[in-house]
Parts: sequence; C-alpha cells; structure tokens
Amino acid sequence: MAETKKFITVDGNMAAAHIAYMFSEVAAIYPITPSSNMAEYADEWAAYGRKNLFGEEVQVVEMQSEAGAAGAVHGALQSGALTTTFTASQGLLLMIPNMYKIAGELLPGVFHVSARSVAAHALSIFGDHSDVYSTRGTGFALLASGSVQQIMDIAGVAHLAAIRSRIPFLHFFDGFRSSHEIQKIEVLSDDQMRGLIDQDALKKFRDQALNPEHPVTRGTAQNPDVFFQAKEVAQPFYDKVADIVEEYMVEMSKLTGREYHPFTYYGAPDAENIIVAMGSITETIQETIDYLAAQGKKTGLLTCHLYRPFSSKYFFNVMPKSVKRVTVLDRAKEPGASGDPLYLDVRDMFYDNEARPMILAGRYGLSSKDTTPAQILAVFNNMADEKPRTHFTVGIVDDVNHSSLPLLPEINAVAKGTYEAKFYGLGSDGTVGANKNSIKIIGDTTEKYVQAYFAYDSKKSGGITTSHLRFGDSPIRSPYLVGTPDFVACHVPSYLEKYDMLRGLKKGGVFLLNSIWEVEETKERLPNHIKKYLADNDIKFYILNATAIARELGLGNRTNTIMQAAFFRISNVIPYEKAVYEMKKANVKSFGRKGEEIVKMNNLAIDRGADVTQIEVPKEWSKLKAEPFKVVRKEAVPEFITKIVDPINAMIGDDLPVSAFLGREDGTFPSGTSAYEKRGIASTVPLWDANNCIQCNQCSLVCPHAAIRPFLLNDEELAKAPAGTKALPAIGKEFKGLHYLIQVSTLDCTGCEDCVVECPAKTKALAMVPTETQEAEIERWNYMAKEVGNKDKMIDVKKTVKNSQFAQPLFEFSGACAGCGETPYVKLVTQLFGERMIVSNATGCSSIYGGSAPSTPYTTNRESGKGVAWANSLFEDNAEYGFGLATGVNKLRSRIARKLNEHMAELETNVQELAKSWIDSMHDAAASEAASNALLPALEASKHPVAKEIIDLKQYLIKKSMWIFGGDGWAYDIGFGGLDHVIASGEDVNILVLDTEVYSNTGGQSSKSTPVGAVAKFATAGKRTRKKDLGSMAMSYGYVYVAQIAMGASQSQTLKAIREAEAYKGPSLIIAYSPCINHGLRGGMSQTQNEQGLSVESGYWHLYRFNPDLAKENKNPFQLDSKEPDWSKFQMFLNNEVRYTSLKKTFPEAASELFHVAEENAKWRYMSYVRMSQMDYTPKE
Amino acid sequence: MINLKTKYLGLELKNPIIVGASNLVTDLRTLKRLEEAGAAAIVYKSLFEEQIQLETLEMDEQLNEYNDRHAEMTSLFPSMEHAGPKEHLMHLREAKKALNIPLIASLNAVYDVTWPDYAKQLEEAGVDALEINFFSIVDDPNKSADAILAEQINTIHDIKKVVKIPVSVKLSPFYTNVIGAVTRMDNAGADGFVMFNRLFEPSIDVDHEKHHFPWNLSNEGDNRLALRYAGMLHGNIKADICSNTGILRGTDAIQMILAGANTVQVVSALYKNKIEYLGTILHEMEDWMKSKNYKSLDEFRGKLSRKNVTDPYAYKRAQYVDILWHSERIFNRYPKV
Repeated sequence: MAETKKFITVDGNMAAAHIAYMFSEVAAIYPITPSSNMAEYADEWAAYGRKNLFGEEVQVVEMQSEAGAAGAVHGALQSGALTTTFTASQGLLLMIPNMYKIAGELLPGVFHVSARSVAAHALSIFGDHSDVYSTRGTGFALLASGSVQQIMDIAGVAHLAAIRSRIPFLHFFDGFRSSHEIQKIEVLSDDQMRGLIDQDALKKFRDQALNPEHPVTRGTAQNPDVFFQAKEVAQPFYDKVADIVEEYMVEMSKLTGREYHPFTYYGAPDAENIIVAMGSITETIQETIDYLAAQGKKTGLLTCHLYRPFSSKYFFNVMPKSVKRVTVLDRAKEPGASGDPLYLDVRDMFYDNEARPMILAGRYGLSSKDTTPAQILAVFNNMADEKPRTHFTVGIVDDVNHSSLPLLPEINAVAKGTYEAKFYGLGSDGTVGANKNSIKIIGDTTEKYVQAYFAYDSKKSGGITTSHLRFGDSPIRSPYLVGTPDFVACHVPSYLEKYDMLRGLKKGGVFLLNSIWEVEETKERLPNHIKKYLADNDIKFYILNATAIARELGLGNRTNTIMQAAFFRISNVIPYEKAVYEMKKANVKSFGRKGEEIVKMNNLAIDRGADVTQIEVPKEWSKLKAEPFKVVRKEAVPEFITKIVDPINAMIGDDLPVSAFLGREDGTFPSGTSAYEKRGIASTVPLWDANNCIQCNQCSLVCPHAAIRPFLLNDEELAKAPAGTKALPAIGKEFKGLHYLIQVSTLDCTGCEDCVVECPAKTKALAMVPTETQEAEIERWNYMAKEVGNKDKMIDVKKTVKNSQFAQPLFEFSGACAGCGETPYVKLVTQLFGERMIVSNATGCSSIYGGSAPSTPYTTNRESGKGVAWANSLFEDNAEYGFGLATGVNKLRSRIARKLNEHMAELETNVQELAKSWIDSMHDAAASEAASNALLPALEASKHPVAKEIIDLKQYLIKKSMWIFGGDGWAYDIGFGGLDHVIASGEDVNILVLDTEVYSNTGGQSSKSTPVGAVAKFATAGKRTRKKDLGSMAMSYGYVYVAQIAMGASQSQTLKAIREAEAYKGPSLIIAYSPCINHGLRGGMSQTQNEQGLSVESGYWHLYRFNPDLAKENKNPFQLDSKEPDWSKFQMFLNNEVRYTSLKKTFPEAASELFHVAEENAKWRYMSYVRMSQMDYTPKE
Repeated sequence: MINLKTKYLGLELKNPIIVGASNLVTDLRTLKRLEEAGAAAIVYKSLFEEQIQLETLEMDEQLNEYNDRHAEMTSLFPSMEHAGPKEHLMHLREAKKALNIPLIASLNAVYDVTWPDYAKQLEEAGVDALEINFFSIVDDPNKSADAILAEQINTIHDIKKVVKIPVSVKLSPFYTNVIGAVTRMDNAGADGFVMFNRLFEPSIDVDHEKHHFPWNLSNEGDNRLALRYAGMLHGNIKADICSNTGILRGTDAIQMILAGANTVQVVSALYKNKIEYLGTILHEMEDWMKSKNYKSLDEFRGKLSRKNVTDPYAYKRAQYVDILWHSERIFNRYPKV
C-alpha cells in the first residue's frame, strides 16, 4: 500500500536542515544570514534529543568563524564522521580554502547554502548566486534547488551522492526567497531515506578515516614533479558524479512523484526559444511558460540542478532539438568577464556542436531583486525579436549602460484559483506573526496549498513589514512578491500617506484599512491617488478600528489578531466559521485553562475582527485628479534626499534607475541623511518639566537616538524661539547669562523611555505623554537644532558628563532598537571626538544601524562641516581594516612632516615656526588641531612649492581619532585574531567593543562573550563554558590601554575611560556592557541603564581601567573602578533577564548547575581583578 | 516515656506533626531546619499545573516579544519548550536527598490526563507519598456537583492505577455531602484525607479600589471545621485522617487527635512564629499527655470522635450553635425514647 503523503508548512531553511540532520553525525556551524536558521534548527533538535538516521543526536559545534567551521568540517570528515555545515555569502567565501582541501581529499561533506550576495560596493543580506559562483573551482559538486519542496527533495540527493561519489556537495538555494519562504510541502521521512544510503560506500569512507589503527599521511607538500599528476588522478571520480546524481534523482522521483535530473526541461517539446537558469527563478519561468502556452506560444525552460560537474550529457538529454534561441539567465554579475558564469558554461557546450542555437546572456535578480513573470516575459519577447539583445539586464532600468530590457506591466501568472494577499504592518504589532498563524491554519487544517514570504525594512525600531501570502488548491510556485493582490490590508493608518499600498491590487479586489477614524473622516483622509484607485478599479473597501478594539480589550498595540480575523471574514479564503474555530482552537492550545482571561481576550479579538464596515466607494472619486504616488515634502531638502532617500523609504526604490547612482559608483552615501527621515514612530514621547529639572543632562547622555538634548540660548535666541518655549537660567558660572532647556525631537524619538527612567531629579523632570500632544515640539526642535545649535566650544566637553552633552552628537536618529544599550556609547564618542573621527565598523548591529542605505546617522558638525567618516568593510576584518586606515593616515601625515623638515630652511620664517609647532604636536590631538589651523593659512600665503604639496594633503593635518567599532561576535570570535594582531602592533587606534554577550544582529547566537548559563541560539540548553576575559588577554601585552565600562553603572567612569583611551598614544580597547533586546530584560528596554547598574552592583560585570602610562610613573596601571559587589544580588541579576530565566524553565537541572557556576566564575574573575589592583609597581632595589 | 509515634499513609512517623505544603520548603536549608525542629514529615509545595501553563505562556511571550521585526532577527531565542514539571521534580529530588524524614509530594493538576502523568513523575522523583490537591474554583454554572465528584473519583482511580506510593486527598469542605464524598473517595482507594484546603480569597482594597492578596494565614479557632470532620470520619473510613488549618499550638493538635486524626499539618504556625516553634508544639503535646498520663497517641486518638462520644448530636446540626452547645439540656428535658 502506498504511504500516505505527509505535508508540513515550513520554510526552505527548515526543509534543508531536516534532511541535513538526518544524514549527519557532526555539524560545524557559524551564524550568517540567511543561513543561520538551518544551524539553529540543528542545534535545537540536538538539544531536544532528536535522532538522525543513525539513531543519535547530531553533534553540533559552533566555531569562531566560517573558516573555523570549514576546518572543523574537514577534520570531522577526515575522522570518519559524516559532517555538514550551513552558510552563505562571505561565510562561504571564508570556507573556500578548506573546500579545496575537502574536495582534494575526496571527503563526502555536504554544505547547505542559502545563496546570498557577496558584499562589494555595499553589503546585502539578500540572495543571488555570487557566493556560490565563487566556489566553482573548489572541486565541490554544486547542486541547486529552486523551491522549498525541491530543497526537501534534492538536499538528500546531495548527501547520498556525496557518500557514493566521494565528492563533497554544496547544495544551494536562493537566500531569503527560498530559505525564508514558507510553503506547504510534502515531507520525506527518515524511513524513506534510510534505505537509500550506499552502505558499502559509507563503510569505505569510515575505513579510510585518519586513524592510528591504520596510520597514513595526508596533506603532504608536493613539488612540481608530481602535484599535477596527483591532481589529475582524481578525475574519474568527477566523471561519475553526474550519473550518481541521476541515479539518486531517479530514486527520489520514484519516492515523490516529482521528476528530477541533473537538468530538467519544462515547456513545449518543440519550443524554439528557451531559457536556461537555476534557482527559484525557474519556478517563475515555468509559470510564464504556462501563461504563454495559454496564448498558444511555445517556450521552454532548461533548469540546471547539477551545476558542477557541468554535464553536457544530461543537458542535451533533455534539450529539445527544436531549440533555436537560448537565453541563459545568471543571478550574479562577474565584472570584467566576457559573460556571467552559467552563460559561459552553456555557450561552451555548444562550441563543438554542429547545431548551435543563438545563445543570449541576461542578468537578473541581484540581492533578491524581485523577479516577476513580467520580467520573464520581457526575456521571451527579447528572444522573439528579430535582433535580440544579449548581455542584458532585466528588472531594473539601466539608463547608464543601456543594458536593460524594457520593463513590462505586471502580468498575473499564478495558478488559476490562487488567492493573493498582501499586508502592511509594523514590526511590533504582530502582523507577521498573525500571518504565519493564518498560513499554518490553512496549511495544516485544509487541503489548500499555502505560501508566505515576509519583507522587512532595515530599521530595528518602528520598521514596516509586508506579508505576501498566497493560497490555492494546487501547489504554488510564484517565488516573487505578491504584485497583483486580491486583498490588501493596511494595519497602520499612517501608511496611507507614506506608501503606495494599492499598487497592483486587482480589479474588484479588497482593501482593508485599520482606520482610527469614522467612515466620513476616513473618506476625507484618504489621499486622492487612493480614492481614485478604489473607484477606477471597483475595489471593495472595508475599515475596522482595530487600534481602538485592541486598546479596549487590553491588547495594547497588538492589532494583529483582530486584523487577522477581519481578513478571514472578508476574504473567505476558507469558510469564516472554520477560520474562527481554528484560530480559537490555537488560542486555547497556547494559553491553557489558566490563561482563561487571555484566551477570552484573544477570542474576543477574533470575534471583533468581524466588525468590519464596508464603505461604498463614490463613483466620482474616479474623476479626481491624482498624481501618481510620491513623497511630498513641505520644506526644501537636499536633492539626494528627494531623489534617493525618499523613494527608498517609500518602498519604491525598485523604480530608481541606474543613473540615480551616478557619481556614487563606489557605494558612497552622504552623511547625516537620517535627520531627514523624521519617522514619527513613537506612540509616547517625553515631556520636559522645567520646574523639576536639575540640569544634569543625563537624559541626553542615555538617549539611544540623540532625540533629547540640552540647549543653551542667549536672550536673543530665547526671544526668537517659538511661542511657549520655556527655559531655565543655566546653572554654572561658565553659562552665566544663558538660558537652559531640554528639547525633545518628537519625530525622531522611539519612545523607549530610557530618559525618564534615568532622570535623577527628586520629582522626575520628564514624563511620557502621547505623541499627538507634542506637535508643537516639532517646530521648537527644528529651531533649536538648526538655529540655536550647540555652544560647546565655550566649555571643555570632555571634562564632565554634563559638559559632554552640550556637544552636538554626530550620531543621531539611527534605526537601532528603542532602548538600545550600544548607541549611547557610540553617540558619546562622537560628541567628544566626532569632528576628527574615522570609524571602521564591523558588520553587525552597529553597522546596520550605522549605515543601512539610505539612512546614515553619522553626521557632520553644524558649524565646521566636519564629522564622522565611517565605513564598514566586513565582519571578520574590522580591526585590520581600521588598522589599515590608521596606517594610511599615518603614512601621509609622516609625509607632511618629512616635507616640512626637508624644506624647513627654505620656508618663510613665520611658516617655519608654525611648521615646527605642527611637527612637535602632530601626535597630540588638541595641539595638532591648533597647530594645523595656524599653519594652513600660512601655507596658503607661502610662495614655496612645498606649501602647495602640503595644502594638497591638508585633510591629514589634524590628528585623526581612529576608532574601530564592533560587537562581541566580531571582537571575541571571528575578528579576534585580527584584533589581537592590531593591539599587538602598538598602533594608535581605539577599539570600542559593544558587548551584548551574543550575536545580536543575526538573531541571538552564542559567542565566546556569552556567559555560562545564558540561553542563546547554538546554546539552547545554556552556554556551558565561561565568558572569555578579552580585557585580561589584551592587558597581557602591557602596552594596551584597556577599560571595561557600563554607562548605567558609572557615567563618569565611562567618560573617563573613553577620554583616556583616545588620549593614549597606542592601542586602546574599551569593552562596553550593552544591554540588548536579546537579553530579555524583564523590566523592558526602558531599564537598560538600571540593568547596567545592577550588573556591576551584583558582580556580574566589573569596571576597570588599565592605563600603561601609569606603569611608567611606577604606579599600578590597573585600577578597579567598581566597588566590591553585593554577591547576594548576583542570582537576582540572572533572574532579571529572560536569557537566564528561560533556562530554569526549560532545562532546570542545567540551570541549577550553571547558575552556580556563573556566580563562581564572576567571583573568580572579580578576585583576579582585585589581585591585579593590589599589585605593587614601585621599583625594587 | 512519652511516645508520639503514629502511622499515616502506611508511613511510620515519629510524631503526628507534618509540615504542610508551602513555600517554606523551597530553600534546602529551611527544609533541614524543619526536620531538625522535629517535623515528622514534610509535604513539598504543590506542583500546580496551572502555574506551569502560566509560566509557559509568560515564557512564550518573553521569548517571542521581539520576533518578526527585522529580516536578520526574525527571532531572538531558540525555540524552547517549557520543561513542564521538570524544575519542580528537580527541587523535589534535591529535597528528598536532603531529608531523612518522609517527603510527601503535592499535586494540583488540571486535565484528566495530566493527573496520573504528573503523579507518576512525582513518584519517580522518590517521594514517600503523594497528596493530591483538589482545590479549584468551579465557575461553570452548568456543571453539576455529581459531575465534579465523579471527575475527582476518576482522578483517584487513575492515579492509584499508576503509582505504588500511598495517595492522600486534600479537599475543600464545600461538598454538598462531605461525608458522602469522602466515603466515595475512600472506596476509590484514597489512603488518607487532608482536611481542609484553605481557599484563595483575595480581598479588595477600598482605598485603591483594586484587589489585593493579603497573607492568608490561619488563626486561632480556624481548626473547628476540620475538628468536626475528623470526629465524624474517624473509624468510618479506611483511610487516614490528617487535619490541618488552625493548628497553632500543641493543644490544637491534641484536639485533632482526640477527634480522631492520625496526623496534623502545620504551616501558619511556622510563618507566624519561627521554624523552631515546631518543637514548642511537640513539647506542649508531651506536656499535655504527661498531665493526662497518656503514654501514646493511640490511647486517646478518636476518644471524642462521633463514634465514641455518648452525645451523637455533638456532630450533627453543627450549624445550630446554640442548640449544639446546650444539647445535653435538651436531652435532659426530652429524654431519649
């Protein structure tokens, strides 16, 4: 009897991990988007005891980098264990050296890769094939899947064929599009797979393991005499791979009923024009072929699954003889090549053929650029042209190289009966979660097929989410965003003005708006372009005040369940009653009987979702004159903002032509664009009460977004200030006669409340109030920021915490999380040194909020125009990159010194003096600035030719403040080798480690900074080993300035450490404790500063400074700045964070043991600092 | 020599004072102090399935609070499952290891399937007996008293089927027919009855117009109801009787034994005083026994139970206090036929 097919609703990463887990004994892992989830699943399954095909848990080991993971894979394979790994992009590139080794030694490892763009002019976490193409020469077999179902079906082929062929396999699929797309697919079981393993081959693999029982030598060094021959001898193994893959694909086809070969053909058997491609686009092409077939047009697709070894035999097996024209589509650009890789491979195959079709090259979909049926249609149209174009691009407007095929109107090529829906939500309102729930309900409880894909913006606070859902009675292909929806829901009323949400909504479709207004007001508030669209396209328009209902039911801003129910009510994609029943069933299941109140609340939310009101769309709306959607600005802003920033933020960046980036070919973006975004995402903002204010400026210090600042006004400025401006006489003799006020930027605040919590006034001088009450502050902020500015030059901003806040932050309004624990440190550094700072920033949270196009929060000083020069190279190389920047700057500064010295005697006397002064002070920041400012005009007046040479180098005159920023994943793990080398070099660079004790940006994986007992991904059952003491390692050099700081524990120690580190003429390392959403603070992110305070008070974190200059004065360079901890609070600290408490609830025995160890570790570490602080540095006789 | 030994649920106890389920037991040091102070056995704090449900919910919310906000961090924590009763079982095992006296587990579950499942797991943790706690507030107006009792009887059946250790039932006094309910449970195999549960009774703070949850400790005189039922049940059921509520002095315990209880449970007395107060209770009992010339508890256990008193109406019409107090006089006036 045939086995019943089992379906599950999963994403591509889970499908790949499911198969990889079955076949592997060891997994060596490292996080990188979008592959991290595969490793996370493997780690979680192992923690919960899931068994592989060999009846055991997979041994999952996290390494310090992908290079490390590849080394571990290599070693584990060599030991005789079937081993896998998961990676993408830069990670895959770091594995390349080992891939050559693994292949060279014929070891059957399998890599699963969610293919992602390799960073070049910019980083991108999204998908293309540039990473996979980079591995073409390694000797790995490369196997491609184009859909979630294919991943499930083909991943096993990779493992099975690797064992039989002895050739390692890289199984890849499109990052995000396939890795994160959720589909209802047929799942393959262990039993189906087990019998397919070639046991003889497996035994041989084990027998060949490196083992002293039968010792051999591997990895010899060979000379010109034999290396070549020894390489060629393995060729027969490659000759068999395609046949072995074919054998297993046939087996898989028998199991699944879905036909697979190294190459497959789809379309008309007598097609003349075909496309060759691989990856998810092949599904889109199939849809388009069907669309064209319905019009009687014969086209075809040749899908490449086995890309390496590239087998012409299997290619020609399936290619129709009728083919006259072939377009090969590549999802990568190989600059400078005569064609992109797949195209060259295909063209080459025909070289010796008598019949050679016309072979055209096209490039599409870089960095997950959505590739739609209309684009495929353009490709087929091109082929049908009398003079078809080659080396074209599709999906963009290339008005510079004129490579692009014309963009066609979107067509609807989805399978008949497919329902398409699109939802616009806010990251925090649960829209994505609710849609995942809908997909699960429909996928798991009905016969329907489902598909879901979620898109997010780059902001970590207040970001928009779009959910793209499809439902149908037949399997869904369509690996592209929903472009022609039947249903559009807008969960956030303010989006009406910001986005063109109705674009593509089908005639007769539905628009559901969460409206906070009554019917008539809603109608009034609709922008004309929406009104017109509704009327022109017979759209059924519904509203529901989910915001009010959620508040009424006590659900806060969680409108998701209400809107989800409304979707089911209106769409009828499944019977509404069934949807309600299933939603409620899931509700009870999640909350149990005790959660009765919550169940009731959610059930009410479900019921209230039915309260939708249909608004009759007046026919006259059709007559409205409506401009196409665009962002309207009331004030003049730089052209870059209107031309680039606004369209990207309005989600129409896809429309920007190539020429929009002319002059920015190297990826450069101007500073300070975030100031123009004015996102207005906070529902509450702080209100300053002058009467209670003590003018301490601490609110400003702790603000993660620089949205609350002190200003000093003279009488005239106060008089001109907008009406209602209140100010206090400024405290302090240096501010005599000035007025003081605290100003909030309503539109830049994220509402985290940190400032209110921090306010030390007896009666708080700040309180959170609804944002809508603070509109008057917008104008006031603009006046203060633009007209009044900062009076920081009249004081020493480095002297006190209070003074520091009068300086203009040159890091403002980033997309960091509300309450971010990192950004206050970054902001403070820019306030102290911003005008001469160069920053090298490791990839991670700080680079994402630091420079996600189009938002650049690093900015320039209002008066000088100087500011933070910021750049991100990679993750692993940050210290080296910063070191290189410093080395280059030093080199050119030393040239200035050399030139001046060489020509000193020839220079005018006044120039001589100033030149000498510059040389004497060139390594002293303040003096060098003064000397440079004096020297420059003198040089300009000088007649000596060297003056001109130096003027050409004037950007190097002032000593630069060299900073290297990054998180603990970089500093403790992947970049540690570089960091170590750079501090060892003695170079004058300042390294700021924003220590969140976890890989924050990639979703919370364990690093070597993660303390024992903390739960993190890759440490599901609690981290087993102690946190690395990075500071002590750095101190061991003796000449590195090292400090450990926590702003919330001591603001003055933080300031002091940053000041000393920058002044120290050598390498400095500051490790800054940074609470993060990954910690799960039980009091919420408004408590980040308090949490830092508790961390030090309880002994969890310690404050110290190690200043080598003190040793020169025979003083102990190590100063322990924190008091003896109150150890009774240590466990209290752990109990305050979900990363710890969750271990107690999930692995209580581990928690009991590890929390004890954590306390012992903290004590051990503290005592080692105490001992260091007591060392005697007086000279001995 | 005074002998305070007694048997309860088949366990040999050195005296009749058991420390009832409470948070006193969460710290191992306190647990040892209880033992040293003279506790004959300890009931570990209850395993509440509802608490596990709530914790699961809370944990789920905490772990997923920031999900789905950014492409790279669609989740922040691994997918973790609440370990259910595992944390409780671990503490229970630690407690068992630390103690020489018997340790009794307490269970309050919700679903019919979890009662025996959790009971089995508690037994496997090594406890000497199990106390099942039927405390719940029924707020379904359509549920009959019979149905509720039938569910509870089934629960006892189900648990007795899967565990070998003795099982006592802690119940509330709010049954239409308490004696009838106890008898049916007795027949279902309960090895003991703990009478009674103190109810969860939040109060209302009129100043702030909200609920508040004051400490619900028992007071002097709170033992009367338990005293009545110990007296009425002694000798009429196979199971043992453990009386609780309002056992604040040695004489309160003596009263219970006179009425027929095998053991008593104390909690409030230890919160109100200190742990060592347990010794005082034991001393008071010994002093009373000395003064009465009793050598062992068996000599006076149940002496004033319904079965053994001459005035059978002492245990009837309990609500008519006036009549109860003066029943001898009534009988005097109206001699029995």
